[in-house]
Amino acid sequence: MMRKTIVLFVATLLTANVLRAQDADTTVSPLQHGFALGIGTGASAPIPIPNRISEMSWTPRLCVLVGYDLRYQFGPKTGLKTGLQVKHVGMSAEAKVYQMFTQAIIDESEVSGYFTGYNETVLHATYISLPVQFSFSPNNNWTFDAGLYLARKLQGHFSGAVSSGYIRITDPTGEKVEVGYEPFDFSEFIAPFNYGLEITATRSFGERWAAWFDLSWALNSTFKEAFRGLEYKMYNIYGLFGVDYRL
Amino acid sequence: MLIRTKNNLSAFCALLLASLAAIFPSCNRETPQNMEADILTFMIAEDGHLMEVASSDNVINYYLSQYHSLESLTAVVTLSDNATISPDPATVHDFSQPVTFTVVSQDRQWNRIYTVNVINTSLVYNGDFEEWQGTGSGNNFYETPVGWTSANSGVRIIHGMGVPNLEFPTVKTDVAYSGNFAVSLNTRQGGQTSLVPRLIAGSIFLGTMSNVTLQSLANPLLLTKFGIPYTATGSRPDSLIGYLRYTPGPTYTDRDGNVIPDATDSCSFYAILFEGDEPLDGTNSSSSERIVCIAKYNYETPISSTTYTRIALPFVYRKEMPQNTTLQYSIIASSSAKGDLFQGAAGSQLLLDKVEIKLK
Repeated sequence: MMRKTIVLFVATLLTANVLRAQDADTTVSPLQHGFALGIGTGASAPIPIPNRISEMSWTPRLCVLVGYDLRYQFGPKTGLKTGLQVKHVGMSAEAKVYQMFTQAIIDESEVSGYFTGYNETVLHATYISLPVQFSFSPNNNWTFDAGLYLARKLQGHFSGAVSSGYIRITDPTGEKVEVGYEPFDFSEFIAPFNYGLEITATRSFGERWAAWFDLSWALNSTFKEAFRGLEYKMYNIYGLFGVDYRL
Repeated sequence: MLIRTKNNLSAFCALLLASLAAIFPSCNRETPQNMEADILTFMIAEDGHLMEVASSDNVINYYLSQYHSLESLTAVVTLSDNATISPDPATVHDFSQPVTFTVVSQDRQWNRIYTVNVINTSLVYNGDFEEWQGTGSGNNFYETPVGWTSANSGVRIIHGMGVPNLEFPTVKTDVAYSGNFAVSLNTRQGGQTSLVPRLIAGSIFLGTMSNVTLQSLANPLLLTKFGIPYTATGSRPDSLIGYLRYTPGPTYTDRDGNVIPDATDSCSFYAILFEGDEPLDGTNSSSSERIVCIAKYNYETPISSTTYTRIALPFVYRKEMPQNTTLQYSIIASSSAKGDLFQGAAGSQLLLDKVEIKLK
């Protein structure tokens, strides 16, 4: 339902603006808009990476962005940028951890304690994101945008397994329980909202086309406060690059 | 730390992340300090019999495999990496009383206190269940008769898995046949999930608990390691004697929790003498080819639920008493004979007192 509403909203916005753009064809409008398409990668990672993680291997997943940009120039070099982006982000990671607090729900039993061993996780989520950025264009070719974004989760999946190790129940002096391979699924703990900083660098190639690089860095955890599976917060940090087509 | 990408999907992105890493807020990359404070193995140097200590044990029952005076013995321990122990086990201690050792973790934030009982007897030690030692605190406090082992530590794990109020199955009772105390074994209602057994029978035995795996919690047959040194050289077990009082629980259920009408729970009580250095466990404690003789309660003598009944069981020999090999023995009792298969009746209670093995 949510998704349908958003698609409808974007479509309406597009139609309205396409019509207006056609009207204002002859003068340079302070309002510009266009489509963005991008790919990239990144991670949802603890910052700083705790020293209880002794080894980490990270597998990038292809992240995809489809967006609509709206830009308003209020000076020759300055402006505002907003829009709506549907972003699919994700990663998988394997880590070797040493006495790291974790919680697992295994067969409906909640087990928490200090885990030593291997941990693998797969995370992917789709957000609809609203950026609000200030623009600075030092020349005709380059534009730099910096600001904030607010994103709503459309779907999310976070699962993985702990393996080849042991957990000390409750605390590091608790009973040692060996763990062979125990999968977990914490999808329900992905936070519904995500916000953070977003910076973009855009290089124009002519009237219509531009290439951009975009970096977003979350300020709130990827997971809900109630999530106790990890003793530290994880932050979405994703970089994407792509093209803009100005309408 | 090592960050490596698994494939070359996007070298650009790896580069990007590397540049990100450069601006991460000051990464704390010191090697973490160990938080564990365990005694992993224990040995009385003069005896030379190395004993593995399960992570659940705060009490170490060390049975001497040969006679030594308890007043001046030294111990050799291995500890969690970089943990420290006091007092120094390598100095001479008087083990005629329990000796307490404190292990402190490398990060100095955690400690464990161990009580070591060195036992020097060719007879069943504390078979009248008069001496008890407590371990843990709060919900996790339980007592164990000195020299004996129960499966209560498994229940402590279950407490940590969201069933905090499960009562310990093996407890002290003052309803004794003789002296002040006896041991009370109780079959408890467990949990509903596959990791927490539906029924947990009370048990007491001579031996140790092994380290737990998540799978073995649901398969307790592998958790119990039966056997302590048999040192009555020149004699052989003749009969197992104990005083028992038994009340079966009201409703007998199978491992899936289905009620089996007309079935009545029964207790188990047996002793084995066997060859070899390795312990036996719940899967082979009455079937192993290493067993020399076994004395087992076979339900012929009815056991009263209101007064203690004397049970005397002859050892049945399966082979000649071997010479010049390591021998171990164990006595095992449970409030539900099929408790290890999760069959039985919640509420079954076995009181046990004055256990001994007659030699000849």
